[in-house]
Amino acid sequence: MDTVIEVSHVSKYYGEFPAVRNVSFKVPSRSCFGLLGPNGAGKTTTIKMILGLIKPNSGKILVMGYPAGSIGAKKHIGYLPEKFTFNEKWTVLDMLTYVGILYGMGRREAEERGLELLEWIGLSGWEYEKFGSLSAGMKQRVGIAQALVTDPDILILDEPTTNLDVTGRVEILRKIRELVDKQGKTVLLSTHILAEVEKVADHVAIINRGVTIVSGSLKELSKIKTIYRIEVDKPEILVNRLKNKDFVKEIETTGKVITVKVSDQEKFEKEVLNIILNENIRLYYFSHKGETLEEIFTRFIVVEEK
Amino acid sequence: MKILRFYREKVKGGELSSELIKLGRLLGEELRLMSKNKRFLVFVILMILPVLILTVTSLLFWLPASSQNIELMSIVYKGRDLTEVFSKEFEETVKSLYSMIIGYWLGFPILIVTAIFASEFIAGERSTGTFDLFATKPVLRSWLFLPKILAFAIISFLTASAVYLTLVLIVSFSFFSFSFTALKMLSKVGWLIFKYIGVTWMFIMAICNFTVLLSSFTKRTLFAVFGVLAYSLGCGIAVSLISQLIPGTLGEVISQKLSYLDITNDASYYLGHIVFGEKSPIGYLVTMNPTICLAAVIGFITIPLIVTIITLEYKDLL
Repeated sequence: MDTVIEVSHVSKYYGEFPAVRNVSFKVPSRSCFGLLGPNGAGKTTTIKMILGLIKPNSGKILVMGYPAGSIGAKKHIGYLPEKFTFNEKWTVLDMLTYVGILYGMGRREAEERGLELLEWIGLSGWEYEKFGSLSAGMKQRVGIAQALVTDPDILILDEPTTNLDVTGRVEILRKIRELVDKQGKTVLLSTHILAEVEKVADHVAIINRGVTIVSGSLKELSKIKTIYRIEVDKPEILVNRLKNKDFVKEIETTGKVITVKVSDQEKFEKEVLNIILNENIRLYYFSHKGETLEEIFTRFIVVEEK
Repeated sequence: MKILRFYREKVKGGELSSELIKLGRLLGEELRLMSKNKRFLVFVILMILPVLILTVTSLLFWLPASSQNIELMSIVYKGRDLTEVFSKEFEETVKSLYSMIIGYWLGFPILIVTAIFASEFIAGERSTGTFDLFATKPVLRSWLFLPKILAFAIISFLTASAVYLTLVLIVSFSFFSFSFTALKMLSKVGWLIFKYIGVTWMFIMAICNFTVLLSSFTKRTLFAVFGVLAYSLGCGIAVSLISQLIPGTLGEVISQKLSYLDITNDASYYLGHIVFGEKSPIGYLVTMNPTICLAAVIGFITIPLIVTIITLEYKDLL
């Protein structure tokens, strides 16, 4: 899989304060990549370095093979900032047209593209309204539209569902997934709302206090701990046989139900099958699920803070 | 070397020809947006205010009286070219009229209005988040304000030209009524008009670029405007104080050196020198070298622009 954004050992200091320390991750192409972390973790600083708005003190960032902040890199990026604001006196169409010209479009082409996008985001008829007269949700939609003016390969969205109602959020998340699946785009998504990342992201990187805690595909990260619920007639035998196994991380019994957190699904399932057959245990219920993103996030942040 | 390497990396992936075409398109777009901008219309109205007043006055009083004069003059100076006969008097009248308004044009009224408008180019756009958003697009950061400065240069040049030409026409029509002779007189003072337009326009651009430089350090337009005002007032006060506090040649020399830092002084002195020579009616605290005055005005146009381009590309946009 190609890498479209490569962040290598990047650090940024504001005076003595380390905003970002030795952060590294790779964003694969045609994927949705979630950048997660608590407030002040360094997510926005990292994004600004990818966009070339600020320079790292050390490390290297490449976007489509070009240095971050170069014209070659920025040609491939559409960006929605965390708090999308704009000159209130401009009309919506003027803004979208200007963005198109900045990307090298002719005026007419940029205007047509602007009208097309306004229809796509459901703001047809608002093209000649001043930006200041729009509601917060409408402004956010216009923000998304301006990020898509040149149909870029990479979209960097910082809190894209801010100011949107429930319907709007669902719609935007659906569109994000559509952009990845049907149009082959790469989306770098920064958000606090873990449930949203879980719905759309393929890969995540978790940052805390300017440091990358973990990075990888969501599937791989959730396999690290899978949770099983097993109901049997002789739970104490099963618990005794399992509790010292290295792939069993946690084990809990409530009546006849055993809840087990494991790090290796295959080994666990083989072992459970062996025990049940050899010990003649009756199995009533068996289910498993991967860790939710919230559980993964909490686990890594808690471990890191310890 | 580090800066050179930085700029080389910045332009990677860009092509010079397409970037120049982009600059042209942005210039066109800025001209269109400026024409819709109410603040800019206020700027143009304030620039032409003196000439509006003079035009109304002349329409009410001067021009009706002059229609008899052309007939009388044709009889008195039968056979002679009236444009040659009245050339000197005409030129002196134009110079007097221009001198009436030059204090407005090379003074605080236009300085304040220009500074307020130019402070929007960077600080105003940064305060709304517009500049930082556009800086993520595939353009050099300079492309985000150079078209604004160029558009402003075009419109202020055209406005200044319109004002000075209108004033000359008013004088011409008062001499010769609405006749072909009135239009012919324009050629007699062509150079004079050119000097006034040139120096006025250079003064406006010097204020504009100096304001743009100050506005690149802040997100607040008021700081940039106050910065320009404080600088201009500070120079004037410093020159005045030094010549009073340090008597004799030393005080004169220091005052003269400091005077070159005052854009208003430089422009006014240079204009007075090229129009009136030694007999300039504009009084100055100290005698200055007109060539250095011109170099100072040009310096105020170019140096702030170069510094702004270099520093804005390099700095972090926090």
